[in-house]
Amino acid sequence: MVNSPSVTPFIFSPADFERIFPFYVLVDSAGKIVSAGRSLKKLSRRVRDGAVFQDVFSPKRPAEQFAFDAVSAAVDRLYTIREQESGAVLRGQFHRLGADLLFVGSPWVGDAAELLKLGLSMHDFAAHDPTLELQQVVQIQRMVAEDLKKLTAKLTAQTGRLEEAARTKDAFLASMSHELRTPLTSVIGLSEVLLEQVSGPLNETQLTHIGVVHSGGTQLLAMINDILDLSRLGSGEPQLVFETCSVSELCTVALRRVERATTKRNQRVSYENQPGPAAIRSDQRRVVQLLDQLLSNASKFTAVDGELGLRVSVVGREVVFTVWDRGIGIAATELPYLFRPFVQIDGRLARRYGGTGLGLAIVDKIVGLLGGRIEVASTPGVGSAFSVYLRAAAAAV
Amino acid sequence: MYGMVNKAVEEMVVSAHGEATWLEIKRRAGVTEEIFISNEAYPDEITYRLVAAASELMQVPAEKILHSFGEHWVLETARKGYGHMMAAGGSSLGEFLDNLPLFHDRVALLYPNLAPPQFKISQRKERSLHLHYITHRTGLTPFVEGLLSGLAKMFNTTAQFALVESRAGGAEHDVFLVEW
Repeated sequence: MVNSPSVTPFIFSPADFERIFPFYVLVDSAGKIVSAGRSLKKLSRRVRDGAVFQDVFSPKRPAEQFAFDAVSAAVDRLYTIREQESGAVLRGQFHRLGADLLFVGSPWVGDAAELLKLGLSMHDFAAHDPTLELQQVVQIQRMVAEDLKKLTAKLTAQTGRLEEAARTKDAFLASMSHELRTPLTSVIGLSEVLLEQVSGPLNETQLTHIGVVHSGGTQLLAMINDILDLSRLGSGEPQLVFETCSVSELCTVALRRVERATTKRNQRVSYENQPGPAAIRSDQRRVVQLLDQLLSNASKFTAVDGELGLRVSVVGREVVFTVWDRGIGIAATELPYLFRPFVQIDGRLARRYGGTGLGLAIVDKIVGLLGGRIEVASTPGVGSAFSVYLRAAAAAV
Repeated sequence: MYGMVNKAVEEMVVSAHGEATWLEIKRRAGVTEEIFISNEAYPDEITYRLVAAASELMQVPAEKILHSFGEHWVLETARKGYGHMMAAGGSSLGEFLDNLPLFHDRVALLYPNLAPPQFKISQRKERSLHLHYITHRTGLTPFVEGLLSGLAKMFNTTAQFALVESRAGGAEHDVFLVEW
């Protein structure tokens, strides 16, 4: 069965046409308005049948004066025309309709306030016309911009308060640490004098008691020093001196510092630097400090007679210092908390191994200040490896 | 619901009871957002929790809060947010309600993730009509009553609203008789 062609749907009654295109205007070849849509007529009394089109509308884009033949030849163009009395700008296109020209379009406005000024309301627009929605989209963008401004202001204020609180905390810690260190120096110094029995002999019990005082004081001083250091690192106060540092020298100094502890625990310490990068551009004192801290931890958490080491390698433009051990290791669930101050993964470790729980927090801060990064790989019962990545000196790699 | 709804709840509470009350409502509702972004879609649950927390804190029934919120939405939020579009919706209560179905159809296009209610008008007479409120959400009938009340105030019109059919009463959707 062959479908018969349907009756063309493009024949409208004037009322239907006006409902679908309420801002239309039909112009004859003499340039006179034949008819116009109800909403367009609402804009201005000058829009009336028989009026001269270019007396009522001026061209906005393209800017040339309305010329029937020229417009007829360019019906695909987008036209914007201004109704002169109301100032309303309409966007749309012309279409040749028999001997006449038909313009269909609708008002082009920046926001709905302009519509109200023009005396138009929602029912002046055809349901298919997106003009009102477009305005609302613009309005929504403005509201969102306001929301984001408010959010930014809130976050800025919060950041300011947090920074102020952090500064206050750092100042407090620095001041407290100083106040505590002064009397501690006397406690440690005088207990040392007593231990050396310079002022006279002590019996065994007295020596044990003074030994406890001295060791407790020393431990407390170490903790205070760590707190002071952490607060300095956190406050941005530390003066870093970036210079070209010999990698092997940094490692030698750090290894020498930890030698006493590892010897005491009869631990084997290995050092590999192959193929040895010559130098990094960094703060020598801080690099040694962080290697010393990592090596001390490795020694502390590795059993007597155990094994640990320092390995240096090059990855891209970075020098990697890896401190490894065959110690107790760290569970994967504990790794996220590793670099937080005062965190020693297992409270029992603090009692068994000592320490302030600040060491890795200090290491993390130093690495950050030096523009590097740190990675940890660890398996409980097998050991850990802390790798510090620092940028190599320009000529070193 | 979109952020602008929750923002409106915040504005209403802050303007009437202050910032501290709003923060306490958020805390009780377990809402952690610093601010609501107008065109972001948030779970409906957040709005319901905020209303429930406000009701509990202020010892006011949730229905009353929703009613006040409806009025606030028309008289403050919608006026500020899209007042001109509201004004383009009509110059009288009757004209606005006539346009309400189309108005909401247009709004639905602006927020692709929004599931806005649909409105339908029937039994239109010179000074009365039936407004059908069709939604998948529950419990917001007092909010619509507040909206209608707000609209009447916006147009300085004395109007009566009666819920002649309700979902709670077994009907397919709520129907309000609006007379002015």
